Amino acid sequence: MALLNYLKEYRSRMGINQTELGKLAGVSRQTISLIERGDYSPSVTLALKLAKICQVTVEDIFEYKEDEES
Amino acid sequence: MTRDSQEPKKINSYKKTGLIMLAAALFSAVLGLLTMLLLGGRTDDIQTGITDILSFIQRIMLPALLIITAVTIVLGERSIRRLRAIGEKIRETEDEECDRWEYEEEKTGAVGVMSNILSQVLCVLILSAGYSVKYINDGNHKNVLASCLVFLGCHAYNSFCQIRYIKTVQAIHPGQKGDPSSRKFRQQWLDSCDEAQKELIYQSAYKTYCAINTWIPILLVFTMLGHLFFDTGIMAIVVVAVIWIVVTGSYLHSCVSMKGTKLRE
Repeated sequence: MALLNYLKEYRSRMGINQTELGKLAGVSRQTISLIERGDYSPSVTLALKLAKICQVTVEDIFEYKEDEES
Repeated sequence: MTRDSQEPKKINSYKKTGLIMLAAALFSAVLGLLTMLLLGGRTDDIQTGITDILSFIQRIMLPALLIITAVTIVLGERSIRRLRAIGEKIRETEDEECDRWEYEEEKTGAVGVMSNILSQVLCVLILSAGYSVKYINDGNHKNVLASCLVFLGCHAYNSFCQIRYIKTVQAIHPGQKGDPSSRKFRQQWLDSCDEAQKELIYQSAYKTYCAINTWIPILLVFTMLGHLFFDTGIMAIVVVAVIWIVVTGSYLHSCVSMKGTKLRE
């Protein structure tokens, strides 16, 4: 997976659980869980929303890493 | 690594498709020949066998429907009870543990829905055996009437069970909206899903479309062979063909109208 994310770390720093973050972002807890596990790449809108909630930039939460083979 | 070695090997699609069609034609010819050799001279025996099976089903129609209804109620109640218990766990737990319970919820729901559908299909198949004017006119109208009543009871239970299942899920996940008695329920449910849930639904829907497109040609071959050797009638072929047209038509209509909407926006 080329998209890494540090959402779990930022959420932990804020001291909230997935349900609370989901409520703040207007999505379900499952979606937050999927993003944290790297099983789902959020839309730009949701990524921006999450960054705003965590008071960081999108690049702080999400990192695109080139595959070594490509 | 050189550029050449990175490029994927070119496949001649026409040649490959031609070979697949040739293999399918050969397989069909062998299947037809085998069916002819094995069953060709025994079509009367087979038709007698089918008639015997039908009359057996007609005899056991009422008790069979009663058993299916009883099993459906037991499984349905068990499924709803388990779902409610899982709901409690989902409310109590957080993060990774909650993920596990939500997976259990999905599994329990899937088993519940599948047993619901299986029960309905079995009921329809069994009732169909006796659902003929000829059978009713042979003095079996009381048996058919009682079977119809049990069938309707089972169908009503299944419908209410589906509503209870939806309401239980909505109680666990208050974000999921939709009135199960409304004709627009599916749209209301989809509208209440967030982007990740929608993606899951779209992926599952596409996989279903692919599965249908794999199974329908196989079913068409079987129904055609059935008609060829056992004179099962053209109705089964027509039904499968209509389902194929409706499914493909709905999919293509959805694709075209969505692109049209995006152009107009």
